Amino acid sequence: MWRAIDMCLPPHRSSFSTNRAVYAPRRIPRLMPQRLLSHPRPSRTLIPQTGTHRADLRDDTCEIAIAELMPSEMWFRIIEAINSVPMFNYMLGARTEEELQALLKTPMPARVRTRVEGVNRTLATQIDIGLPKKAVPTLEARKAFLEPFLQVFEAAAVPSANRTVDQQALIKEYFAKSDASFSALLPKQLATLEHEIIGPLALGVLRVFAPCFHLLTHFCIFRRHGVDS
Amino acid sequence: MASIADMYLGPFITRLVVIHGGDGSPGAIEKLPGAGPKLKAFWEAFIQRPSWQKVYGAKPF
Repeated sequence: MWRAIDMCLPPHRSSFSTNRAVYAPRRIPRLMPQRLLSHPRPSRTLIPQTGTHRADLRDDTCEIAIAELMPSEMWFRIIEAINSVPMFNYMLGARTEEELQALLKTPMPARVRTRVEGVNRTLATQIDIGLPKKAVPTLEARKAFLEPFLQVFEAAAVPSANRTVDQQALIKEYFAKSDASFSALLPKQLATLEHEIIGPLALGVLRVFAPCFHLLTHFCIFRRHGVDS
Repeated sequence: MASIADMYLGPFITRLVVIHGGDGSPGAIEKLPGAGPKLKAFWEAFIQRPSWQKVYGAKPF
């Protein structure tokens, strides 16, 4: 019986026993700086979904501390911000043919295709997998939202000289929507920035407050340890 | 003293200015629709930084 239970238990439990169960403490890796430096593993969820970092995606769990995640995330975002056109809706992130061709080189078209295929597969097998009826309208709405983008990306993959009239109309409509989206969202984003920026730089000038905070911190430490008395 | 938030905003606004046909001059920010006085002050302060001049001084304008 113990043998059968042994086979069903999770791997952290010792499975060397034959007659009775011997429980071993679960080994939880400690988040030590040395470990982080020797085994840096980027988090799957915190890496921007771009072609540059796509190869770094792994299925294993993350053993990295939040203190290291923050700078790495910042650097990824800075590099991405410098090398990309600032658009607000990534699927509508092209207003010209050049930008559309650049968008085709990102994982976005493949991601849209995968999502559409997944939704189609789910809807086709909804009876077999016992899909709740409430989920069907949501999936159909998602499919209706994503399919035009997929058609545009497939049309854009064709050289411009060989495109049919329908494909040209699709791409023209896509550019118009992108331009409208960009033009509508830009004033809102700029108004938000105008409200949030302290000035002249984003977080203001820290030359006055930083030394005061420094002195206050030292004063509190000295008082606590009785140094100044 | 520039913060990490400025490193986000600098390239972002620079690209926006480029898209709207602006250049690296202090008055180029006025080409953005809805740019207020704070954004203008940010732009004027940011384009004077040597790092901005090094990266964007010649390109992409």
